[in-house]
Amino acid sequence: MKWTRRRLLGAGIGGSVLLALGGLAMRRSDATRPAPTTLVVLSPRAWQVLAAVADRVCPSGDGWPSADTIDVASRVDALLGRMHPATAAEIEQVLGLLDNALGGLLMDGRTSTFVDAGPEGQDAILRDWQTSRIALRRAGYKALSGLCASAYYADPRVFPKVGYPGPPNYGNVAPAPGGAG
Amino acid sequence: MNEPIRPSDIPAPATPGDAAAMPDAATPTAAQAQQARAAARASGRLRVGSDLSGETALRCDVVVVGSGAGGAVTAAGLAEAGHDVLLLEEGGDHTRADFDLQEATAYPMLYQDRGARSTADMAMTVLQGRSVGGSTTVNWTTCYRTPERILANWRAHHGLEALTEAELAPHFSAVERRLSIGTWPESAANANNRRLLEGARKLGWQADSTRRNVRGCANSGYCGVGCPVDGKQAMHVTFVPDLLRAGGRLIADCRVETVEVDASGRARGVVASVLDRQTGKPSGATVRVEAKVVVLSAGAINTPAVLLRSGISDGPVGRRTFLHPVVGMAGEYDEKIQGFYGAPQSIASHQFIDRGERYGFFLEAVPVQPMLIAFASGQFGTPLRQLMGRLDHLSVLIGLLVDGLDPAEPAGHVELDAHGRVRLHYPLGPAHAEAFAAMHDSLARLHLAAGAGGVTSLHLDPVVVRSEADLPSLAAAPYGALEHGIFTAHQMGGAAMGRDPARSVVRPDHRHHRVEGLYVVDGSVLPSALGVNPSETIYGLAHRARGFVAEALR
Repeated sequence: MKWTRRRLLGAGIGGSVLLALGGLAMRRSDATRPAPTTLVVLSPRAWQVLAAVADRVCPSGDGWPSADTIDVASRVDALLGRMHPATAAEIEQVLGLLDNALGGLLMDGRTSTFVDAGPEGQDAILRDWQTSRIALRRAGYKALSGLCASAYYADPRVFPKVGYPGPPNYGNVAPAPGGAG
Repeated sequence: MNEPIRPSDIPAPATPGDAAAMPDAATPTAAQAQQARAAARASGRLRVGSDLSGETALRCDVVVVGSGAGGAVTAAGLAEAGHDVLLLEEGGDHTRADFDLQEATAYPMLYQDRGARSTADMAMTVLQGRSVGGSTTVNWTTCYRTPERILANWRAHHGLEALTEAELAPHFSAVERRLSIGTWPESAANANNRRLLEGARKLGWQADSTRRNVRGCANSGYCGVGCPVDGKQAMHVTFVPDLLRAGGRLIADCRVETVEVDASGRARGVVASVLDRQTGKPSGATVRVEAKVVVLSAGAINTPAVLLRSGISDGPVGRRTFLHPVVGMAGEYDEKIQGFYGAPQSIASHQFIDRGERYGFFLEAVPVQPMLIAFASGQFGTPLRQLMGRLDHLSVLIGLLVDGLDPAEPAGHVELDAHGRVRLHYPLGPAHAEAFAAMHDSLARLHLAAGAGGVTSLHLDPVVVRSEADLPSLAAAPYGALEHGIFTAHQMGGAAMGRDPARSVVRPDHRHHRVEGLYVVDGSVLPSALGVNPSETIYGLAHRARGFVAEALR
């Protein structure tokens, strides 16, 4: 079955409705990361879901820096802010679908939001989406994991862990932070 | 963070092996190119988005939309012939001073959609450049003349009888001189490419050194993030400065929205939005250009988009888009490969280029840099970390599927969505799946022959091959959309050249079938994929198209 971006969008809108219902049905714990106040495009809740995804895509331990240390979710938010508004809206919707407790209950029997599912539960949800029979879920997994993995593994603090000494210095002038684009 | 390595730690710079392609003394150097840029900047002939506000009205003989392989070559030649040329580029004017060699900087700065372009269904990742120089600023320098079997296909099926090797030879020779296109010596191949060569030799498969457009290449490996030494003879250091030196003008951060066509059916110019470099969004400033001739060179995805936005949608605009769909496999070796360093592509195998009725494919290598590989893997958590933890021991080789040789093949298509965004669709069928499986089989065999201990596919549920006994499990893996990583770095078609207006958008001389004064000179005119990396074909066709456009200016 083919899923066009428009169908993804349509499903995303439906998912947002479900997200609202899920919010009514299940009390969220407060044990989530506080969202920064400087978000560019994502809502605070979407940022929290993304940060939780980033933490499982790029888990800390064994000397690997955490996704929070690399600030993966905020970097992705900043990148989305430089893309087409419709693209950022789609990512927001996918994050809503992933987090959605009621949708998760109906489709997978899970009773918590993604944010509250705990590391093992979150890994199971991501794995479900990665290998889902529903192309929409695989596309959502690919978008979210790809954005997080890209932001994390492009960071020089991760380079020593992958055996990459980094680029040689050819005397080029590095652009000021945020000055390129 | 590790100490940055010294340039002397990476394989020694090599001398091109094909002396015949070396530029002559008259060919401007990178330093001279920089001088031409500085002079144009000082005189106001090179402007960027932040220079412009309000409405700017400009006149010229010819406005060229897009500064990549097609646009830069066309614009420079017309300016050198004495015409008043204005080149517009939607991306930024970035030079080596901006290239910090970090993937985190380069992909958002130098690629379409901030490096996140994909097909609408997300099944294929699209690597396509977006800055002055277009994709040539970020491509991996592999150059081929258009193969004769492809020209024969075009002559037989698309009415392009004039396109023979002899007709194109002088144009290819000219761009080869200007861009210093020569064979990269085998001795300078990095360890990643060497695995491709050794694997192919052990299997008895054809494999050869590629030709590259480089002059003073440091063999750094950073072609894909902007060459740090201006060794790559990309458009922003060659034909764009040539244009400026000849008196032409360039405006960067300037996105052409529409081509203006008057009541008599003649193109009169273009309307463009100036973009804010930081946000990528319109700054509010606009540019309106009145021109005798409009040349669209925005690439195989954006040229059809401009035509569609302009209502010039007669014929198969945005139809038959070819992508050379790419799949890859990562071989893990006991020894260090360090495929992040050294010319990213210098060996290719065309062993399977012709498979009769089935899709043919060819085999090449990629830069094994961390962001690209982490993204491509499709994995998360511990499996991703395990793969990435061995990055310096990975060789990553790719297969590229040759699409569009069957003139009836629909291939991909480009359209605009309700938001005005360009959408690329590329339906995958059983014939693609068959070829993807064959490509995986070949890549696994190559790696095993070259000594890999394990070969990992880019499936969302990856297959690991440790010996030939595991090949059946690879063959049994799924090869549909969103089941494995698929990529494209070669976008072609969508505004094909041809004789029949029902099956092509422009005539064999690049002129639009209906609209007078409108030309298309870029990869979108290709009536099929090429079976080789497309940059030199586009350079050569653009060099030839200069003459056709000049005739219209008489």
